[in-house]
Amino acid sequence: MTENAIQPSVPSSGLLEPCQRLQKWLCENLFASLPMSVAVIDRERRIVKANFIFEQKFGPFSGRHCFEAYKHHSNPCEKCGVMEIFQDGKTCHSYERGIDRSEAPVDYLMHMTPIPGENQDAEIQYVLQTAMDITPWAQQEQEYRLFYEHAPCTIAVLDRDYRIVRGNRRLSALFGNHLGRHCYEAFKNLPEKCSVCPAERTFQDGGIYHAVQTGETQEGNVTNYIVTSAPLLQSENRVEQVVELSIDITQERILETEVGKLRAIQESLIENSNRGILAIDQTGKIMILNAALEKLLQRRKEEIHSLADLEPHLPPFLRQIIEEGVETCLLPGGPPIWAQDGEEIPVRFTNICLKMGQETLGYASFFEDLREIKQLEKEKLEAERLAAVGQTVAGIAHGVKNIIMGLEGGLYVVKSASKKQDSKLGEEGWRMLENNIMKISALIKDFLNFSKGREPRPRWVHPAQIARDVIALYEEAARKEGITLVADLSEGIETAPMDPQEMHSCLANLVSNAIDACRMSDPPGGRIAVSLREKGGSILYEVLDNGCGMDYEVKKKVFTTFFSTKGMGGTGLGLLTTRKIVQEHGGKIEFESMAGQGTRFTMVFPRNRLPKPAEPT
Amino acid sequence: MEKSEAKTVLVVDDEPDIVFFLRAVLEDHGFQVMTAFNGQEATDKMRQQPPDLISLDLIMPGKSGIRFFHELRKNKEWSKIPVLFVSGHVRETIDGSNLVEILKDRTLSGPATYLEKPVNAQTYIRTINTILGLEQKTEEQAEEGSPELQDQVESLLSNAPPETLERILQMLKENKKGG
Repeated sequence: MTENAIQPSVPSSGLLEPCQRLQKWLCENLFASLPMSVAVIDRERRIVKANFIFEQKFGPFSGRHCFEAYKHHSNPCEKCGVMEIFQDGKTCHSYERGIDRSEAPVDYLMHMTPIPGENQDAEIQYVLQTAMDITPWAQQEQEYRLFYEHAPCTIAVLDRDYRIVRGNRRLSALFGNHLGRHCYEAFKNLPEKCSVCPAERTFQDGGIYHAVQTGETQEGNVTNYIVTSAPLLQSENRVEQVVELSIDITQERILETEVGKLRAIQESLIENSNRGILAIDQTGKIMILNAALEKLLQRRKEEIHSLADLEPHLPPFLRQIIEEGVETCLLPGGPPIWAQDGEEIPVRFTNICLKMGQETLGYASFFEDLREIKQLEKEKLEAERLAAVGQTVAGIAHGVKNIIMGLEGGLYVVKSASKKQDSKLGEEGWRMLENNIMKISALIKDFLNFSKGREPRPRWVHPAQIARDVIALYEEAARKEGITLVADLSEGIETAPMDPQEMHSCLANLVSNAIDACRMSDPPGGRIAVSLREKGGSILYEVLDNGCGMDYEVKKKVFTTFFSTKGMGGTGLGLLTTRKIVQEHGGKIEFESMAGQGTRFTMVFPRNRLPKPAEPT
Repeated sequence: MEKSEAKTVLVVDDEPDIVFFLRAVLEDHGFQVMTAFNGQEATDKMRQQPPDLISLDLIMPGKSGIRFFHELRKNKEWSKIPVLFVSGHVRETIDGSNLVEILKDRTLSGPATYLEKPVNAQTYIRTINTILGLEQKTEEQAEEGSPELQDQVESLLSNAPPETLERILQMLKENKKGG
């Protein structure tokens, strides 16, 4: 320590011995034993004396100015307390922030007092500075302030009258000027205290309490928050102030409500869907089994806990699809399911994987009951068949007209011949009668064949084989007419349930028509292509010719009435019968034709509409 | 009244039996007859010699009766030739209209009427005579086959099972051999 300590002034009046000793001790030790930095500054702002604690905090003082020692400045501070004291001689305090010897910031409270001169009028020569280090408290206060203002919640301090004595910025932003107001007025616009009040309980027993509250902001919006009350100022078993921290959960509440609504909608959709819906988690546990599925299976969902419980209802391959979460859609004719009473129910089955992002949550399956559709399909087919029969019945009377006129002609010619004794004419008359009776006979046979409504007897057959058989049957006849008959049959078409006899007669009828069309074209001859392919789950037979084609009038009548353009050659029932058979196989027949250019007939059989074969594969 | 010998009729039908029948009826009544089996042939025959009347079927392969009729009406020389449609398709809709409607169409000038098949000889000749303004030969009316017989044949045919018809055919064949 530096030697030139300043002697405190001693009152001139005489003191007792012990008092002098005390004064002496104080002079010698007080300076050193004060628990704060003490320094003496001269008029040049130089430190002329300092204690141990000063040097410990700010380093050696010798020769340094106060601004250098405390703040590491090279010039005096803008506002200098020391200089003021030299002028007015008044003691003063200030809060300062300086830098210690290790370059760390230091907060201290500075107390400065003039050291009187020799006499009252003499100029002040020195100032005594005591600096109390408050760095830890300043830091705490700073932290507290930061938390107080920037915490993600509102903070209000209430007195025992429930008046707000302090609040953070967030509180002001939400509820406006709140100071001095009752909390229930400020937060809820209520005239009196709320029935549920955590602050009240904290006032009672000093405990920490929570509650969910709904308030109203200064803009009039509803706000939901979780409030926590804690005792702040306590005196002798009495809590004087309570701090309330409130976290806004309005958005969460809105979301919660929305999620709740969505959930209610979804549950209602699932429950009221007329498709059976099943959802399982990855362990096979049933999550959803809706009312429609309960009805289909004739089981209560309470009885079914896992996929294994569905064993009597679902075929094994379906359970496997569900278990493995294979995304699929199986169409009618696909899987049957079984109700509790053993009824087999045809369904359209769809399976999907339930995912959230990359995470698999489980699998869902949909079962659409096709019993009604199947029944309707059957009825429609029957109705179509009956309509075709009806049209033909109407048409047959029509077709008979030409035959009757032929008979009429035959009778006339026979009579006329006998009158004229012309035997050659008579023969012609008999021929006419014969022709027309043959025609009516063939017609009735065809008609009976058409109208008897034979159910197709489907077997598993190769569609290509039917085509090959028909081509073989007509190859020779075509060649004789100078017609090229070619086949274009796709490889690898699987077997299909068809009535081979009926399908053969359909295709044969189309090929025979094509041969007639080529024969009637000018010049006769031409080319016929029979093709078979599979596209989009349907089997397609096509017969294409470059024969005479059909003009508009003929095209319009192809399927609609009993109609033939072949004179003696046709009864007009061939295409009607063909259409009937195609329809009975769930298919349809279409054609395109241009007069003088040719005709294309296409029979399309969707596999899922083909009749069920009597025998297994 | 004019004489039928002076008149020529063009018979157009794709059924040879019907052509033969109508030709026989017409010739028996003294008409000159030309025949054609479709619209195109009919046009060709018209070019050779336009007839006094055309007996026309509606539906035929190749050029149909309707198309032929429209061509006829567009031709100044031929548009006045009367046409008698003889068809089983009289009331059916073809190309959006039927024959009855087509005949009502005033834009298609020229006389035309129709008979619905089956047509017997008596009705046919009476209609043609009426169209051409010729005298009806009353004695021939008596000779024509009685309507009862026709009705009987029609009803028999429409009710007959195919086996019975086969037998009738057989009988007819035997009859022919015998005659």
